[in-house]
Amino acid sequence: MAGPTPADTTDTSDQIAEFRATLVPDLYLPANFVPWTNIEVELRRLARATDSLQRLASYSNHDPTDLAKAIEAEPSILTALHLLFAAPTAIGFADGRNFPLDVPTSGTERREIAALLVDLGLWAVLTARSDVADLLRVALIAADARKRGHRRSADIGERVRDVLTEAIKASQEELGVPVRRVPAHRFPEQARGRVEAVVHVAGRPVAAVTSVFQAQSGGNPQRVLAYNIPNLQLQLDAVPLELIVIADGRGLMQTSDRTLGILLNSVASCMTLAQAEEGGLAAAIIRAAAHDGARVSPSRSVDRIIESTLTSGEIVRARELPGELPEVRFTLARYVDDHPNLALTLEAFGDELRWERGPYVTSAIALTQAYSPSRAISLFAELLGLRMEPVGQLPLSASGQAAIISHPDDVILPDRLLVVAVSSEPTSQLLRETSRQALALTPTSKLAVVLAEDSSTDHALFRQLQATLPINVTIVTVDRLREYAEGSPSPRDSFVRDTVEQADLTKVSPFVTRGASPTRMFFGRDAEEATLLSGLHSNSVAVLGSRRIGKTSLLHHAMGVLREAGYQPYFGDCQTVRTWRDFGALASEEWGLRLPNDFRPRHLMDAVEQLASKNEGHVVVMLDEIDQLIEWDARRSEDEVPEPFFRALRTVSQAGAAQFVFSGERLIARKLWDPHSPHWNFCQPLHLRQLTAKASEDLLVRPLRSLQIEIEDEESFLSEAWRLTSGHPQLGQALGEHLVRRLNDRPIDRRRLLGPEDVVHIGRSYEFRQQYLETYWGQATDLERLMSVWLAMGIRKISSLREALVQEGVYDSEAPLAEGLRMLQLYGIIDTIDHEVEFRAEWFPEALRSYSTLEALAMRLLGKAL
Amino acid sequence: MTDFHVGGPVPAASAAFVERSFQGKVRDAVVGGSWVLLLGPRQHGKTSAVIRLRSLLRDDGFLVAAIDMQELPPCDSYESLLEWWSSELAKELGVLEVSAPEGPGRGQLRTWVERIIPEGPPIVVLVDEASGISNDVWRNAFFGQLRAIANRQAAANPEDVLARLRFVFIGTFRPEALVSPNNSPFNVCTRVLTDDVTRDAALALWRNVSQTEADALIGQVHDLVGGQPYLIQLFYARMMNSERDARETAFRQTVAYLESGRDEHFSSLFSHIVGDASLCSIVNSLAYGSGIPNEPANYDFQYLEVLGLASIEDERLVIRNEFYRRIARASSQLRTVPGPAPAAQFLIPIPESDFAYMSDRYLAEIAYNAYRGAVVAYGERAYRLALAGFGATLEAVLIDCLVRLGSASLASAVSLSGASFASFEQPSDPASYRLVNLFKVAKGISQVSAQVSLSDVVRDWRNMIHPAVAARNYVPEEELAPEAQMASSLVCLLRRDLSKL
Repeated sequence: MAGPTPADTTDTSDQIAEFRATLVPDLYLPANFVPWTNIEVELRRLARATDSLQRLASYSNHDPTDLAKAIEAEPSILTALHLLFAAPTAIGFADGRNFPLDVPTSGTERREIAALLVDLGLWAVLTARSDVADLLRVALIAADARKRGHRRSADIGERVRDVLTEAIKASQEELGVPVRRVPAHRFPEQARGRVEAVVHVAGRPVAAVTSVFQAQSGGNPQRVLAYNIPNLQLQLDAVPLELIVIADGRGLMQTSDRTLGILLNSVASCMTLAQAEEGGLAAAIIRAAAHDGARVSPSRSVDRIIESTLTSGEIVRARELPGELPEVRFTLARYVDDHPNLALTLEAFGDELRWERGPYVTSAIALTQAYSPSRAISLFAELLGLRMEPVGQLPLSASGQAAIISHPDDVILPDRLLVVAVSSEPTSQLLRETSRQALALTPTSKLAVVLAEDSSTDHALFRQLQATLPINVTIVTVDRLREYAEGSPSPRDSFVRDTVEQADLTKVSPFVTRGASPTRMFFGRDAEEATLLSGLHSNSVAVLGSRRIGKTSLLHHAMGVLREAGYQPYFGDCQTVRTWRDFGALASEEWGLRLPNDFRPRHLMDAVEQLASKNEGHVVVMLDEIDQLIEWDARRSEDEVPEPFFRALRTVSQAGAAQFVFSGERLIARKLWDPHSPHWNFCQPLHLRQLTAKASEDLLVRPLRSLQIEIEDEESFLSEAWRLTSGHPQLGQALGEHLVRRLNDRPIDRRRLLGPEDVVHIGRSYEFRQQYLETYWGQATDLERLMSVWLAMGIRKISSLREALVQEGVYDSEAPLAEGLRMLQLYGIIDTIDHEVEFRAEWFPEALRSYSTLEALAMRLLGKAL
Repeated sequence: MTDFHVGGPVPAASAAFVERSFQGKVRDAVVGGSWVLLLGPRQHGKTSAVIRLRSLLRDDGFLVAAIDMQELPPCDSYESLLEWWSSELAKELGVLEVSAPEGPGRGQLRTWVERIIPEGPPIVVLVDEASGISNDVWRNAFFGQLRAIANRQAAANPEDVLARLRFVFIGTFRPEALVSPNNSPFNVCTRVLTDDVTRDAALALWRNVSQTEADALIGQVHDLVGGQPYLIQLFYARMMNSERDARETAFRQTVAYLESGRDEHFSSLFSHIVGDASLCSIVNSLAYGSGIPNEPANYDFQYLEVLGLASIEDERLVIRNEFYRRIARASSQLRTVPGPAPAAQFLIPIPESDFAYMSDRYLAEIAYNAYRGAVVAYGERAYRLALAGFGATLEAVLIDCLVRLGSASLASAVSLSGASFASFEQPSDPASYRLVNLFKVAKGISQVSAQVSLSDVVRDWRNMIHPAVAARNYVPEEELAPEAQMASSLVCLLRRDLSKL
């Protein structure tokens, strides 16, 4: 189909040009310009009046009385006189006289009318040489002039009807379904009396057709184009109906591009009559049928105006838009709703719409017009709200500028980020150089940025390159900077999104699978911290838990909590503390105490007093990984007192001079559970096991969201994740890491979506199953492993477990069984309730089964335990 | 002149260097900020990978230091160990002067390191042969202090020099046994195991070095040795040195040579197994079966992977290559299941560290070397000489044991033994005992009573090496193999039990 290009696929300027090229100044038909037939008919109707007037002009002495008599005799003379004076209606004069359309019945009045006509100069019009018939013919042509527009409209209407008929026929052939023009009474209410036709396709209304012909431009015609028609489309949108406007005439030719732009953009289709006849109308109907009458972008007209205003960085003011103010305000509000991806602010009362980050949008626009590396860096830093530290030019293969920007406390972004802005297109070499520079300038960062005016980079190629770089390099073009400024996601999130798409994700993964978690990855443990705080009021506390359960992370985090609560906490990593002397060295070095080189337990009170004198607040000493020191102390005595160091700690604690928080594993747990141990009632045990469901969810989901990764069917996703981890923080982190690696292996367009099936897939992997069992079982003894396998085989009662141990000859007393069960509880594998056992780590039996048969595993472990 | 490498690390620039996937894993982990524990068998390309890794990481912009703990000189204190290690680190990083810390900081690795690390990019320290510190206390202190550094990194500021440190520990050891698990840095490491050379890479290696196409015979090498890089290079080197027509002969000769167990590769590998009953049992199962289901958190299984003897395939622990299976089946020392004894062609030596329990270091050195010589002699079918060596080993081990007992316990053991001493023997001086009396007195020690009942037989074996006596009771050399095997086993049994005293 020929015709105009649809508005939504072509630039407005092109549309305007096409439109103008086919406009004609007017559409009068010569045959209809003077309606000769009508005039001749009218002349014939006025033939008697013509004869009378001809006689009066030629032969009378121009006496008003003669005229009055003639009028009385032939009333149509009055009609003819109205024509000659070009007075189509009754005329009243200032002196009170009238020139009526109808002949008065009284002779006086007829004489007054005759006198008036003489005064008006009748005999100047009608002279003896005048041909009244000719004069009346001209007068009739003049009188008809007012009807020319209507007649032209009628002509146009006819042409429109013709073209519509043809278009309906053509579109029906094209669509293969009935296309009908419906009678006016079936017009939707919004269209009644306002359009010339409503077209149904397959029985559904899809388009309304109207025509506009303007012989001249001016305020009113402009208003029709820029306001009335756009408003009509807005109202038809409610049906919905696409408005097809056929517009033509000199007035359109004289209309400004702006108004034409508004017109073209505000309706579904707009075309000249020539365009319509060339197939444009049929094409418009077919398009409307494709949308079921709903325009691709409702209210596109005003939207385009808004869009073009916003694109130039300006504020959109309601009063400058077509339409009544309340409707325009509504349109602005709707525009905001329709564009949730844009950062727009609608001012109070909806009078103004502006960019939330207006100044940055302006800067970005300026940057797109005239690129400057240093301004690009400034804008990037400002957008991300970062502090900037210029480093000037770096030895790179491309000329440009560089800066380091600081962004503390972000799960994904590094504290310090190298940003390089170059004037040329980024190359592989530049990325490699940037990565190397970043390594030197921001050594703990895993990310650097290259800003460029443009990039025609093949992302797939760059992604391969990223895997070989020591630090990921994200390329941000000026256009993207502008999108950062304009977009509703925070610029930080937009940047992270770009990074996720471009980066080797394994380098930016926030999950910590080895070692203590930094604060940014610490979630939950509120209840445990509360227990710790309440316990420290009167007692020391021992944090008991298996390896990797988060003891060290908890202690680190609790430092801040204790400070806030008014305590004076001191942290000591006893990883390398094996002796009293080591402890003294740690206290001297870490806490700045003056202690003897040969530190002995008796010096402990002095150490605590020194700590107390440092600051306000009750002293709390946190000793992480204490098992080693306990073991060493248990083999020593001082002044014949066994386990003197821990007895000294107990004395200090009971004297209220300080409280202690210990963390450890098996050994400290055994001591605390042993009623014969001096540690038995020294500390309040705080069993650290799995996270709550909420904290576990936060641990997994928050970092993923921070990476701008979306989660599909989140409920199932979380449920599956819980099944695989039961809230174990280490496994949660491991699962997160596996998920990130899985995303990393995907193409760019599938890198930002995870779903439950991804978790299921990871659960099936050998690597995760191995990690799972090593995490839960890593420290378990052969007996504990055997017990847990039997439990996985279905034993539930503790008495049955005991019987099995007896039967297999591995039971020699109750103590190993009791300790084994307590340890399995401490590891978070089981819970015991009323002499029965339940799996707390619900996936544990399934994970075990996936290795080999439980029977075979039990046999092997039995052999070892015996 | 061949370019295949059968000794020492393969230079990265050599055509014989084979890129392996574990190298990429280590680099990725380091680049990602992790500490890495790279474990793998000897002669499996670890040191070659370290050389390559050092070059790659330096190209990336990292500061890299490689420290070989095997080069650790004898130290008289933990502080001197730290001083040596720190000077090696400084040398590698181009730091000219290191001022030793004073006071308690002198015993803290962190204090030393903080004085050395220059400003700039992250520092990667490659610690090769990480098990090289033989002193248990120092080893635990050293690695515990490294673990403490790892702990600090979680809470470190980016400006903190320690935050820039990344370690790669490399070796062939049991991480859970090398350092106390409570303070092991290996717990916070990304663990990477070396992998075998793929078949394609092996064929490419042949093509690259020999500049000839790989034929079916070359393909058979990989079938036989799996992807064990040393064995591949050994085969290729021998085959390369032969004319094309003689390659099959070279292949067969190499097979025969390896099956003899004389190549040190096998002895160093299996020596870690023979002294450990649990490992022997597992290897036996692997040698005679199609593998066993992997068991989670089974440190023996993991160690067999580290040693290179086994690998995980389809979630089963399987023996790594056909040669290892043959060796395991041929070894009487590994056999733990009933059945006909295999015709042993070689013995697997126990490692020198197994003699480290002995109090007298001269006796320990004598015992180990006599033993080592005996094993070599056995492999060469010199059974009389092997008996002499094993006998010397037994004497050294028993003298050390009895001296350690102390006079009271020794007197008690002597009185229980019923030994009759010759005039030159002093009951209070075990060093003066004949072998027969060493055994008799040792029987008085409860822990060894079961094993030393063979003492008379051993004495007889010793007689067989005296020429005159041997001639009188002549037994052909090749028929002395069972006695030599038994003597070897006795050494192992005694070492096992005496080391627990």
